[in-house]
Amino acid sequence: MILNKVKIENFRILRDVEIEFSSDNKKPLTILRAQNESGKTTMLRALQWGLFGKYALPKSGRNYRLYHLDLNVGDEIKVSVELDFTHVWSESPLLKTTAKKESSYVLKRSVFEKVMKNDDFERKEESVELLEVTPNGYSPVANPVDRLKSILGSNLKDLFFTDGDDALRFIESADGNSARRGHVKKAIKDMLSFEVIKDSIEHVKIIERSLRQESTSITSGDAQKMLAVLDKLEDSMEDRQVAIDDLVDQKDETDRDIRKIEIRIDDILEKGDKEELKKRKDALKRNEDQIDNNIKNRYTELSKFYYGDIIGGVLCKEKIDITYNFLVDLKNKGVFPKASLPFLKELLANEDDCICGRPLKKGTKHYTKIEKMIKEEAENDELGDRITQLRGISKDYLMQKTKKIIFDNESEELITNIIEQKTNQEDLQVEIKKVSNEIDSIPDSNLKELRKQSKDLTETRTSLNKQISRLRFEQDEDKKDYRYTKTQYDAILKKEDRTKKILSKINAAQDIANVLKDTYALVENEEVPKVSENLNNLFLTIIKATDGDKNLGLIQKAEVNRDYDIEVFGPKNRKYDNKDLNGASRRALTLSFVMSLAKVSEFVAPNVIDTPFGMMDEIVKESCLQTLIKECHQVILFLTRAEINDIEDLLDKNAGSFHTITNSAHYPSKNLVHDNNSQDKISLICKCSHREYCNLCELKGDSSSGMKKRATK
Amino acid sequence: MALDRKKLVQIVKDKCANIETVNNSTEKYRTELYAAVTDIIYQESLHQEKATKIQQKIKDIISRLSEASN
Repeated sequence: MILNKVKIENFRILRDVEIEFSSDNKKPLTILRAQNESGKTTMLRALQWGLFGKYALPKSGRNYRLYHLDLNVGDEIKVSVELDFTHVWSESPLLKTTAKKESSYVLKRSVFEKVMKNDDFERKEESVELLEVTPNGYSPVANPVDRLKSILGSNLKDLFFTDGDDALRFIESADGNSARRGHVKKAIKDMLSFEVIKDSIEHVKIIERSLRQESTSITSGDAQKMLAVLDKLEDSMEDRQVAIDDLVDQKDETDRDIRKIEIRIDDILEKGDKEELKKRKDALKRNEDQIDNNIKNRYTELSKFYYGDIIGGVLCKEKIDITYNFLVDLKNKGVFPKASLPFLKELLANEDDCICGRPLKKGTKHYTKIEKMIKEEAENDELGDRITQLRGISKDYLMQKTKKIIFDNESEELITNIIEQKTNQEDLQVEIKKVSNEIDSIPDSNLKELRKQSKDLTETRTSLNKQISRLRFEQDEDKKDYRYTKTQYDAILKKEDRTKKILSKINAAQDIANVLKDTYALVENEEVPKVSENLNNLFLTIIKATDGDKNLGLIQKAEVNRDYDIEVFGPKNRKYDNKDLNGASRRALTLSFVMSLAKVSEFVAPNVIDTPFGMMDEIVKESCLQTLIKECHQVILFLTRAEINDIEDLLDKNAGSFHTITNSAHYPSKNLVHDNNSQDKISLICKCSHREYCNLCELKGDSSSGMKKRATK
Repeated sequence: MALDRKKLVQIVKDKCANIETVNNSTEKYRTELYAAVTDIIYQESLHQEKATKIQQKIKDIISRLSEASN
């Protein structure tokens, strides 16, 4: 359906308004420029009421007056909306149309409303007239409401007639998550014909069962038993399928939960795994302790060099050298050791002759002399021993020159080792400090708990998979049994002429049900993902989050999930709460959903949108408008002057019709320059474009803004 | 609902042409099956807008298809 023209009379502040819409393919835009409180939303309501009646009004019109507030109690007024539109009937067996045909219609809806006391009103029954334009003039359509439903569909008013705020119900709802999902689900299921196919399946199955019961009454006992078995198997298969679907849903839910937890774990790990860091710190500390022990041991080893003989030899080497040489000299001179003493003692003991030939008899002079010599020698012996000992010791020291080398080498090695270990220790201490700082910088998290949850969920998923496999196996077995029993049952029925016809009907019903079931599954499995895919493409395009195949920025993906939630994701598949999106993104998301659903459903209708560009910056506004022009068959936009800013050139190029709506009551307080019956407080319509102003719509500053003054009568 | 969806018509058509039928699988029967399914969807769409004797209508469509199979 494409709108051509609307005439509105006495609909709230729209006293007498006529607007022509652009139906030009090349210029599909119609722009209605209006400041706030000029009648934009009222215009949207008037269009919705004209097409869909009172059910399109807030609260089905119960407390929604249509009369102008200036009317007095007791006044009665006729409210009417007249719409010219064109509809192309495609050739479709689903609509019983046999050829493509374009029809033009005039729809007239009117109602009388009487003003009562206390702001109340009395509304009479609406009158609807639908005229088809024929070569011979206007021809009334016999059942206008049914014809309108065929043309408009039941969800058109919610999807195609939106104001920026109202459309947000698809992504955020004050009534909660289920209400939000409900809006999305209803829109998708309605636009993709889910319900009608589902109801068809149900009704065909009811009839199939009634045919079976009919056959039971006229068939043999065996056939009846088989029929009972078939019914039982069918029930069992259905129950099992429900159980499988339920388990698959649970598994999908579990998969999603696992993914969410994994993302959280990755997120935490990206900041740092506190547990792992603590383990690392402990390991480093253990290393450091080990090195500390090693250093202590090395010190102990080193200290041994400083209290043993080696250090003495090393420190006194020069003196010992002199001593030793002196003592060697003495020895060489025979000063010691005294080797003659034992010999002399022996001579005296034996009283033999002396070696000099003199007799050594006791009492002789020579004996006494020798005796004296022995005595003197004996007195010197202790000193000699000591000197001999000293020579030996000094010799030992001097002989142990290697000890000096050992001392030098080993002490150097130990000191080098200690320095190395100290360096390692310092490095480790720096590392420990660094890890400690990292640990301190990571907030306490429940990583351990998350890992446990992930493990538990993975076990749950495994268990669900097993249950699904088992049920599918049992389902396959049931199907085999069903086919076998059915073949036997059919064979029996075929033998009985009376039942042949019923059997044929049962089979026909089964064939129809199978086609419908497959169709439903295909629509659900292929068409819904298409809505999601289109939504993603349009949304990313509008918010300029994509450059060809490359995703840019913080928003990377949008989708409609299996639960009919519209979700937005950032980098690393991180899900955003839709409330966290900025106003422009939220509007872009809802518009993308509407456009994608319209595209997949192939429904042709005007997109009438009230203030779509609120909160959008120049770039997003421009890309949103370009997307609307590209994706929609007809676009009717109600824009404020602020929304028009920056997209004037695009409007020049793509808009085929312009109007400006002005509230006469805006003189003079809201910058309206001319007084056009300001007491009436009505919406005034002129044909000024976004680059023009006239005596009806001129605002202060227009004449100096570069806009052109349009001449009026 | 948007019933003039070419895609939906195509899905039904494809299913009727390729499904393993219980009755018989002749071209003629498949054409009748397609007509029956689309007719049921049409009748259901009318029923959704305004209550009709939908079960009787579907029963009649099934009977017609069953006759076409003989």
